[in-house]
Amino acid sequence: MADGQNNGTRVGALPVTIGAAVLRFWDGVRDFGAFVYSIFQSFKSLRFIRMRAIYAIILQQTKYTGIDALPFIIVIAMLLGGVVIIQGMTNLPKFGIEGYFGNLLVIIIARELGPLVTALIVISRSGSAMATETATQQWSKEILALEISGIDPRLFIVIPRIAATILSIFSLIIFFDIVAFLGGYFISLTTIYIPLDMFFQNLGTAFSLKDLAATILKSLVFGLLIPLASCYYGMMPRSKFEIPIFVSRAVSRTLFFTILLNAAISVAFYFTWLE
Amino acid sequence: MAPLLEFINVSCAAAEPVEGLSFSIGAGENAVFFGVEQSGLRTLTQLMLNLEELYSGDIRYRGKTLQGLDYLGKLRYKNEIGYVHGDYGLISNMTVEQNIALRLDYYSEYSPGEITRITERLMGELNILDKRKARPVELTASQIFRTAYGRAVAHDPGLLIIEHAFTGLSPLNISSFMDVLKRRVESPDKSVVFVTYDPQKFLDFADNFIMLYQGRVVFSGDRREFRESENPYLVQYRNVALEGPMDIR
Repeated sequence: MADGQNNGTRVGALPVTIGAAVLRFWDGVRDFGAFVYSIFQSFKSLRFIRMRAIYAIILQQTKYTGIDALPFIIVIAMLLGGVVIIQGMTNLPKFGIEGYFGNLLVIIIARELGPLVTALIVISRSGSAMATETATQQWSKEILALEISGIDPRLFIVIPRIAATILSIFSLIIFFDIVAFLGGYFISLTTIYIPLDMFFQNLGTAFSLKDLAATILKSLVFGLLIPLASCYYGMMPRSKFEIPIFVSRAVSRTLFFTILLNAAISVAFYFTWLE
Repeated sequence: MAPLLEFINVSCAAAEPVEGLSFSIGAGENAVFFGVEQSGLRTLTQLMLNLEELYSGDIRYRGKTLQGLDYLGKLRYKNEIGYVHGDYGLISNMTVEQNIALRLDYYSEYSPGEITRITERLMGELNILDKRKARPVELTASQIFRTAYGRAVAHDPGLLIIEHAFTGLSPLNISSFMDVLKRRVESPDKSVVFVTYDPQKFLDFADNFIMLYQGRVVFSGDRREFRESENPYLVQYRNVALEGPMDIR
């Protein structure tokens, strides 16, 4: 009897648990929506402010997110490029499709790996830093001080980070692609020989407007998502104790949604007319 | 002429509720709000700063209500006031000079050269000119306070609110700052509001003393009344006595 009751409770509890999770998710979406709306609202004060205060932050953030990440991006792009080229050149002939080598490289490196790996590096370096910095500023009342000074924290903290991240991610993706192709080619020479002119001719014919459009769209979407989510979670802690909780949440959720959006954009581009 | 700041029967059910607050501060007048913990001082400050919006009654600044201000109205009001609080909230990745110049850099019509002149004058008055390139982490508590004060007055606000700002500072360092504060409170068209647990510190500066307990005004009077009144709440507070009308835990 007791077991039957327990089973009944468990069966009844499942929809409640799922319902509660759905409601929590919906609340989160609404709250994030309100945060994004408040950012749009902060544009109202744009006409009163001096842009010099914003430029300085954009420069500082671009340096940290873009320029300082460059060595990291170069090494990873070279290694990944090398691996993809070696694997492609050794395995494609087995299936008799070596003629598609250039297309495959462009699709894997330029359209998929470049934007995704760049975004993952930016999340781990800058996203976590943005979330921690914002959370610390929230805890130490710096954000309150800004607000009371009539400085909208969204305009002062979030907007410059969005501008800097979009700029940085786009530039880093371009660097990633160039280094992955060029560096990867030279690394692959250690195991396999491909004439340089043939390699780049192959790449050149494989590149399309679609690849460029996908790169631009992904850098825009990731450049928006990473600072938005990092600052959103960064502004949540109400005590020192909550800082690591929200920073971890910022990083894990940004990672999840970056991968999800990357897949969504890739699928969308698969069906577009652009060539 | 309308008072600078006026509370008309203001009640607010915040974490530290207040009820029926009514007072006015004229331009050039200085007031001290004091009371025990949880007496409503926190909510009072939030209301003065227009950070708490759910209240009944009316709060007016220069005769205009703060109730229902839109986004830009709130920004304009915040540009009329200056605020120094006990946590100071200096921007940690900015230098002393950048912190003080922050609002001017962000809003004012001043050129970069004029902003530098204003900031240098303030840093000189506050004795922190040698720290202009230092970040908050390199400053002493007193230098942090002076920087926060400089930032709050850089745009020369009509109303300056100083909340529990001397907490944790050495009395000697506070004394050396009092001359700067004196110049501010003696200015005929500028007002300073102190929110504190230690009203005695401001005896030489304030015209009005207002005591809160459980969200209500239990004493209001001038300097002489603050010293001499037999109001039981005030007497208990002045004597730091546990016995009296206030239940202290």
